[in-house]
Amino acid sequence: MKLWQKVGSLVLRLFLALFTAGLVLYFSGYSPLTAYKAMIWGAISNWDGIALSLVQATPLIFTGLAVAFANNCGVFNIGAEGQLYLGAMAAAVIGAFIPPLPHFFHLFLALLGGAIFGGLWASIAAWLKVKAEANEVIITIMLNSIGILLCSYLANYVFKAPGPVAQTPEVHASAALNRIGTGTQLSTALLVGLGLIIIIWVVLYRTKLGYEVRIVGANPRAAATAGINVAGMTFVALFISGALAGLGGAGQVLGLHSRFIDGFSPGYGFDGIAVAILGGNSPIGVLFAALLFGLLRAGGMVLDRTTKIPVDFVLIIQAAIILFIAAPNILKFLKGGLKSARTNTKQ
Amino acid sequence: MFNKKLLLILLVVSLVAVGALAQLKVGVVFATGGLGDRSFNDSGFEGVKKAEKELGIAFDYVEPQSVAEFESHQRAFAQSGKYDLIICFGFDQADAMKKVSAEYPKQKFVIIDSNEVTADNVAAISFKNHEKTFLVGALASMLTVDTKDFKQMNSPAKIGVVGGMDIPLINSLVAGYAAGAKYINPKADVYIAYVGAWNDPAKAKELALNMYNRGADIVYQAAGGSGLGVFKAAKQVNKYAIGTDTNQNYIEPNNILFSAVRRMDNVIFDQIEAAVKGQWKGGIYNLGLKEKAVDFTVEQSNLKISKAMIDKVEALRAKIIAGEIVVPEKLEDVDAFLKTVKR
Repeated sequence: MKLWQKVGSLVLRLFLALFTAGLVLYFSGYSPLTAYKAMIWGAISNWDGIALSLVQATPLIFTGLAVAFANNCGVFNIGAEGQLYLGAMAAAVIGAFIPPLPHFFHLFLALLGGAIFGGLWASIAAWLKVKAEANEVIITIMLNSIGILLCSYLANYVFKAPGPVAQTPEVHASAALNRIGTGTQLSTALLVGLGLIIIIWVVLYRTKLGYEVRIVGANPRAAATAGINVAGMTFVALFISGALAGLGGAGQVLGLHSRFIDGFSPGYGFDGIAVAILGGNSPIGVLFAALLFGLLRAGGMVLDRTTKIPVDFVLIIQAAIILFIAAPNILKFLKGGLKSARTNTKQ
Repeated sequence: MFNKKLLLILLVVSLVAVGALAQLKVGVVFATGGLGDRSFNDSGFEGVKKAEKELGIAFDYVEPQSVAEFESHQRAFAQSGKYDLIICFGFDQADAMKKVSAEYPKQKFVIIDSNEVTADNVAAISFKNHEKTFLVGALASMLTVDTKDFKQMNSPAKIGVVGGMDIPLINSLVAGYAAGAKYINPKADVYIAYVGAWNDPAKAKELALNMYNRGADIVYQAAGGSGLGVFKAAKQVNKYAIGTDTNQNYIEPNNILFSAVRRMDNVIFDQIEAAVKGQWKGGIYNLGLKEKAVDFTVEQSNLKISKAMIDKVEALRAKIIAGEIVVPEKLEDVDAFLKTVKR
C-alpha cells in the first residue's frame, strides 16, 4: 500500500470511529457535535490544550517505544505497565531518600535507577522464557499485577510519606525534571522521550545489535542458523523494553508528580501496546501514535470538564477510535460484508 | 409616554445584564470514585444541584480517572478565569491544591475533607464526625432498654462498633459513639473492634457476629466498604445495626435503625451561597451539628423509633450546639468527659 493510501485509510477510519461513537452519543441524548468540538478544539486550539496533550502523550512515548522495541525482536511485552511502576518507584526512592546531590548527577541516578529496575522486572520474563520455555505474554501479564501491588505495598508502608495518602515523600529538587514554561505540567521528560525516539531509531536501524534484534524478530530459526544468539537477543530486547517503560514511570515521578502516588497510572503501559501497533513498531510511528493518543486523552479531559456529558462517553469515544485504528483492514472487511450481503439478496 | 417605554426597556436590559453578570459559576473536581458512588461524590453533587436550582448558579464538573489528573483539572479551571469557586472533593487533592492555589491567589477554592491547605483563597473543610456519633451512640444506648418497641433487645446496655482502621479519623467516630452511649447510661458496655481494611466485609461480619454473640444488640459500622459485612451479620442473627457516612438504611431496612451521615449537600450549598452573597472567606473550617454538616437519619428504615426517644436525642443536639456538651474526639478523653459533663 502506498503512503497516501495508508494515510487516506487512517483518516477514513478515524471518521468512521467518530461516527460510530457519535451514534452512541446521539441515542443517549447528547449532541455528538458539541462533544467533538469540545474534545478536539479544546485539545489543539490553544497553548494550554496543546501542553495538556503533550503531557498526556509523554508517558505513552516511553511505553509505546518499549512495546515496539520488544515487538521488533518478536517478543510481545504486555508487561509495560508493571515495568513502568517499578521504574517509577525506583526513581521516587532514589530522588527522595538519597540526600540532595548536584542536579544532573542526582537526576541521572534517579533516571538510571528507573531504567534498571524496569529492565530487571522485564528480565524476569525473559529469564523464564529462555530457561523454562514460558510464554512471555502470560509471564508479563502476571508480572503486571505483582509489580503494581508490590509498589502499592511499598507506597503504603515502607516508603510512605506522612499523611493520609499512599505516596512516597517528595523528591529533592536536585532529582526533578524541570517544568517547561509556567502554568503547565509539561516537563523535560518530553525531551527525554524525544531523545529516546532518535536513539532507539539509530539502535534499531544503524547498529549491529538492532540488526540482529530485527533478524530474530523476522525469523528466529534463520537467525539461529546465521549464528545469532537468539536467547541472548530475547534477553537484550526485553531488558531494553522494560528499561524504556521504567524510564516512562521515572519521567512521570520526576517531572509530573514529584513523588510516587499509589495507582498513578491510568494504564499507560497498556495504551503503549496500542501505540506501538498503531505506530507500526517504528520509533517515528510511535511518536505520532503517542501524540494522537495524548490528544485523545487531553480532549477527553476537556470534554469532561466543559460539558455535562458523563465521563463514560469519553471512554467510549476513545475506545471506538482505538478499535477502528487498530484494525487496518476493517474497511476491506466492511466492504466485503456489504458485497456478500448484496450477492446474498440477489440470490 | 415615549420616555416611560424607554425607561422600561432600559430597566429590563439592565436587569438582564446584571442577572447575567451576577450568575456565579462553579467548577467541581470530584474524587476518583466519580458520580454514582451513592456516597461522597453523589451527596456533594446534591448540594451543587440545589444551588443551581435555588441560587441560579451555573456549574461544570469533572470526574478524574486517577490521582494524576487532579492538578491539570484544578489548573484548567483556575486558568480559564471563568469560575468564581472551584470545589474539590477528597483529601488526596490537597497536594495539587497547594500548588495551584498558590499560583492563582485570586481564585477561590474549596477542598472537602482536608485541613492541610492553609491559604487565604482556600476554604479547607473537615467534619466534626464525633458529634454525630455522640447522638447515634446515645440513641443506641437508649434503645437497648426499649424492649417494648424492639423485641430483639435483651435490655442490658451492650452495643458495639466496628471500625475500619485504628486511625485518628475512625477513633474520633468511636470516641463520640462511646461517649454518647455512656452519657445516657454510665454502665453501658461498648465493644470496639477494627477490621484493618476498608474492603473486607467478611472479616467485619465475623467481628460483628462476635459482638452480637456477646450480647450486643446494636452494632455501628464505621468501616467503609467492609461495613456491609456488619449489616449481613445483623440480618443473620436478626439484630440491629447503624449505617455510616450516607443514608444506608435502605440496604437492610428491617435491621438498620438509622445512619450517621455527613451532610455534604448542606456544606457544599453553604459554600456556594456564601460566594453568591459575597460573604465567602477562606480558612480552615471544622463543621459539626451546629452547621448541619453532620447528622443522623431514620428515613427509609422500617424500624420505628418512638417520638419520646427522638425528642431526647434532639435535646442532646441542642446542648451540643449550645456548647454545653463538648464531645471528646479521642478515646482516652472519654472517661474524663464523663466525669466532668453535666447531665
